[in-house]
Amino acid sequence: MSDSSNSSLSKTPPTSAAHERRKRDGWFRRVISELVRSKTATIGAAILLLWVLIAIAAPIISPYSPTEMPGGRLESPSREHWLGTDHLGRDVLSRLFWGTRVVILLAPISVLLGMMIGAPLGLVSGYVGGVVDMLIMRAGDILYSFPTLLLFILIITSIGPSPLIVVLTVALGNVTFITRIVRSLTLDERTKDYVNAARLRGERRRYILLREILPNVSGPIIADSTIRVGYAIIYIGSLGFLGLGIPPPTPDWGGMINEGRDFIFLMPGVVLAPAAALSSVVIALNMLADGIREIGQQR
Amino acid sequence: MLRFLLNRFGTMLLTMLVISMLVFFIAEVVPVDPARNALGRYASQQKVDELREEMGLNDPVVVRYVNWISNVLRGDFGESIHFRRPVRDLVKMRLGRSLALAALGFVFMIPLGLALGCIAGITEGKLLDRIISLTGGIFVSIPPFAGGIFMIVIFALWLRWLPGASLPDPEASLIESIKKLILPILTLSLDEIGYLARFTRVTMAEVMGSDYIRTAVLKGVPRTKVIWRHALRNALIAPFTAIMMHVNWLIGGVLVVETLFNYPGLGSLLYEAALRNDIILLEAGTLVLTFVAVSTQVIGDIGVYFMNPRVRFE
Repeated sequence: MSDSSNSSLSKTPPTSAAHERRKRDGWFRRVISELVRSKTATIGAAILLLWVLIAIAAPIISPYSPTEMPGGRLESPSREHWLGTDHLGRDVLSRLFWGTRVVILLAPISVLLGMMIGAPLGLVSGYVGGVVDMLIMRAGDILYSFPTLLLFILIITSIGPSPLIVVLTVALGNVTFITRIVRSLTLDERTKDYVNAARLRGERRRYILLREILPNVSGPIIADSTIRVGYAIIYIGSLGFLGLGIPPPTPDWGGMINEGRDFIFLMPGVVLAPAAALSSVVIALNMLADGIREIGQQR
Repeated sequence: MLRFLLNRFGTMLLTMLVISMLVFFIAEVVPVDPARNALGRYASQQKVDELREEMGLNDPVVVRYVNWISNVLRGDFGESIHFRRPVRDLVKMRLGRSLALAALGFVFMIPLGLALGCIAGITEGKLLDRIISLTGGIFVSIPPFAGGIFMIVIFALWLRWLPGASLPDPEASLIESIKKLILPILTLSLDEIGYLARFTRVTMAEVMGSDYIRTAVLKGVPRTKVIWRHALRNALIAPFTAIMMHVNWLIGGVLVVETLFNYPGLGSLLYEAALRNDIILLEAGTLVLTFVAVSTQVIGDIGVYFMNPRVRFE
C-alpha cells in the first residue's frame, strides 16, 4: 500500500513521468497513500471499511434473515445464535449485520443532502455579502438555537417516521453547520488573486462560485463532513432509540436498542451489541477526522 | 454596554418569535385530528365536529397561531391530550427535575473536563496527554444512549453497585435517591467531559506556547504560578463559551438519558408526548426547552462579555 513514488513526489518537483504515473494511479490510490501517513486515520479508515464490507456482505454472512424468527425468545448466545436472540426470537447477529446498511447508507446520504443545500447557501452568503448574507445567517442562527434532537422529534412526530423523513430531517439539521463553514471558507477565498482574476476576465458569478471557489474550499468541507457523518449517525441512532427512527421490523441499531432495553437485565447482549457497534463507527469516523486534520497540519 | 445588552435581548426575542412560529406550524402538519384523539375512536363524527369548533380548530391557521401564542404568553399552554391535565402544571413540575439533573451534571462535568483538558494541554505530546486525549476522543464519540447502556450493564448488572433506573421513590432514603442519580449523571457527563477536555486542551496548549507565558517563564516566575495566575485565566474563556454553545446538544442528552433511566423530567415527558402523538404537550415542552437553550446562550454571551475585556472593544 505504501506508495513510495507518491510520497517522494511531495519532496521533488514532479517530472512528467511521475506526473503521468500519479494520474494513472487514480484518486483512490492517492487517498490511501495520504491516509497511511497518519496512524489514527488508518485505524479509523480500517474500522469503517470493515463495517462497509459487512454492510455489503450482509446477505451472505448473516446466518439468518433479519426478520425471521428461528429461535426461542431471548436465548443466550449459542453456536446457532452467536449473539443470542431478541424478544421476538430473531437472531441478533443477523440483525446487527443487516442494520449496518441503515447506518452506512442513511447517515452519509443525509450529510450529502445537507451539503447540497448548505454549500450553495454558504458560497452565496460569503461571496455576495450584504443583505443576502445577513438573511441567510440570521435564518441559520435561529435554526441553530433550536435544540437539534427536539427539532427532529417535533418534525418526525408530526409527519410520521419513515426512512425518507429521517434522512431529510437529519439533513436539515446539517444545513446550518455546513452553511457556516462554507461561508467562512468563502470569505477567506473571495479576496484571493485567482478570484479577482476570474472576475476581471468577466466570468459569471455562478462560474466563479462553482468552478473557482468551490474546488478550493472542498478539502476542508470534506474533512468536516467526516465529523458531520458521525453526528448524523448519533442522531439517527437517537431517533431509533426513541422509537422515531426507521420503523420496525427493518433492522436498525438504534431501534434494536429501543426494542431490547426492557430486557437489558435479562439479555444485555441484545442491546450491548448494537450500542457497541454504533459507538465503534462514530469512534472510527472521529479518528479518521482527527487523522485527516493531522495530515493537513503536516503539510 | 447597554447597546450590547439590548441587542442581545432583541435578537433573543426575535429568535423566540420565529421559533414559536416554526413549532406551531410544524405541529400543524400532524395527520392526527386532536379532537378525534381527545374523544377516542368511538365518538360520533358530530361530537368530534362540535369539539373541533369549540377548540377553534376550524379557524384559519394564522388566527389559531395568534390565539395560541397569546395564551402561551399568559402562561396557558392548553391541556394535554394524553394526560388530560393542564400542560403548564406538567411542564412546570418536570422542568424542575430536568434542571436539577442538568445542574448536578454541570457540577460534575465542568471541573473534571476543565481539569483534564488543562493537564493535557500543559503536558502536550507526553504520555499523560495522549491518554487523556484518547479517552476524551472515545468519550465524545459514544452516543448518550449507547453510553447509558454501557453504564447500566457495567454498574447495575455486572457489578451491582448502582440501580439501573431512576424513578424517584418518596419513601427511599436520601442515599438511595442519590445513588439513583449517579448513572444518569455519569452518562450525561461522559461526552461533555470529553468535549470540554478536548476543547480546553487546545486552548491551554495555545496559551502555554504564547509569548507572554514564555516571558513569564523566562522572567523566572515559578511554573505553578505561571499556570495558575497567567495561563488559566486566558485558557478558560474559550471552554466557557464552548459549554454554552453546547447547551443544545446537552438538552438532547438529557432527553435521551431521562428516557433511558425512566427519570421523570421534561425530556422523558416529551418522549412520552411524542409516543402518544400528544402534539399540544410536545409543542409546549419544545418551546420551553428552546427558551431555556436560547436564554442560556444569551447568558453565555453576556458572561464572555464580562470575562474577556477584548470583546468589549470590538
